[in-house]
Amino acid sequence: MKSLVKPTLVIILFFVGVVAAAPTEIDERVRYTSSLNVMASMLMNWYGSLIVKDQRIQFSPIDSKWIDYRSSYPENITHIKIISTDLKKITKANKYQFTINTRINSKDTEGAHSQLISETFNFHVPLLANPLIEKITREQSEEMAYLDISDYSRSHYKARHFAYAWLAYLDGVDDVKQVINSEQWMDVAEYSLKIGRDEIHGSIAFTLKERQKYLAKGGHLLGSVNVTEVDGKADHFILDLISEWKGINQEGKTVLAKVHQQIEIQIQENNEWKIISIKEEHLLPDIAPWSGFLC
Amino acid sequence: MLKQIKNITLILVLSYFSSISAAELKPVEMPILSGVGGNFSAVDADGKDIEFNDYNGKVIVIAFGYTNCADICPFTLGYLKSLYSKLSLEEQQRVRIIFVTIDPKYDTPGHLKSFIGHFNEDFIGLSGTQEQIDYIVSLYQAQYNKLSSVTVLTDYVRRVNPKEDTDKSEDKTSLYSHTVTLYLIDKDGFTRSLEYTGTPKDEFVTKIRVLIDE
Repeated sequence: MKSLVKPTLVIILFFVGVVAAAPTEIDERVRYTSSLNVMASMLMNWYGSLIVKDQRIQFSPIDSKWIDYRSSYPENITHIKIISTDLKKITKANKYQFTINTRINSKDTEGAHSQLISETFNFHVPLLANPLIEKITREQSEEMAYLDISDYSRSHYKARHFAYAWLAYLDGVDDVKQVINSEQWMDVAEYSLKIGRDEIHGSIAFTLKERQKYLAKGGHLLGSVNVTEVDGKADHFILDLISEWKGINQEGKTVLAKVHQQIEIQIQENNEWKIISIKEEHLLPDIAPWSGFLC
Repeated sequence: MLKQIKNITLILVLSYFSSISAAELKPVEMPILSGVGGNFSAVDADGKDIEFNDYNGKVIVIAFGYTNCADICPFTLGYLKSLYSKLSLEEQQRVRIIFVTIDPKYDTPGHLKSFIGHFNEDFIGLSGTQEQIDYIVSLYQAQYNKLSSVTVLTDYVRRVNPKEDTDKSEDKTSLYSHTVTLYLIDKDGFTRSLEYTGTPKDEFVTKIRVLIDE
């Protein structure tokens, strides 16, 4: 799990905004059918579940129609590093294309291998349902010189699978509740939120409702994920997320927020993640390179 | 000190590039910057307690600094003076330029008033207790640091104006580094943009006018 501790900027720069059905009201929790964060979460699930090492970390099941395609990956994958991504929206259709280049390390009786795989995932986003992977095309596959990428383990992807799903939930996607296992903690875990001089404390459900006044309708763009162990508490971790939020507040005014969340999670015996608490504060947005300068 | 020189150099470099990009100005987009700013209490340069919300209805530019600052503060206030002069009299009435001292112990309201007056008598100097100042600094996610625990005679500091009624041989000050950002705040008290002395003045004035007209 310590391998999770590497701060990384993965994918993301392209995962902007919220797509699909627009909400009718802002005063209640805004509900969308989908967010690009859902697709990002699905991809994290896809790659994480390909890694064979450390099976105690669980992922959501992959649709059986992809069994054949998944058999085309090397066997005994130990680590996967996403090298680059490219997102394209197919105009006039609710479709997205992610081209992802990965370095895949695997091991067999002859030793360790590295492979560069480039593949394109075509997502369809139905109006009232979660995105679906429609088609996957293998663009390129070639052997490479072996390189250690041991930070990119199953747990690396689990943290991101969870993080994107959580951000999708914050974006208003209810269908990811199963991924984040929210029933267990939604009304129990403590969520404290600090926005300037305003501080809100309460259950996650309560704080989210209050948060809606400030960040009513918009989307989170994940910037970084960092995971650290909590000293003295077995199976407790802090998931440190920084995301940028763009949208409108309850009064319809445009808002930009740099959201810093520290989520304490507990990995339970069944390997499900349970949120214990969330601390959120809004930092100085990265709009001015000089804002950190002191003279 | 070396770090300060580096930062000033960086600012000058950024200023250069800002002036290039100014030619290709995009439409002004100024979202509310969530979590930056809010109401606070302080003491103005007349020694009167104020609430920041008292200025609601005005477009505000806030700068942080201190009167014994030898470099960026006089430069910043000179920049703001020039910026302010680009506004019409009617516009000036709808704008407030506020300088918050980060050294309230030295910068008494009277001294602050005299210091600010060297640039423009319309400008507002705010001081207060150290707790009040630290709160304002934290609200705006600004920073300041004492450069050394050693104090220096103010006579050795190149500064705008000496403090009145002080014995030159005894008058000492601490030196600080501090945030150089200029916070542009709308009529409802929301921070809408982060600028600095490298922002082309015409660009800054345009942003102020957008907020005046909202």
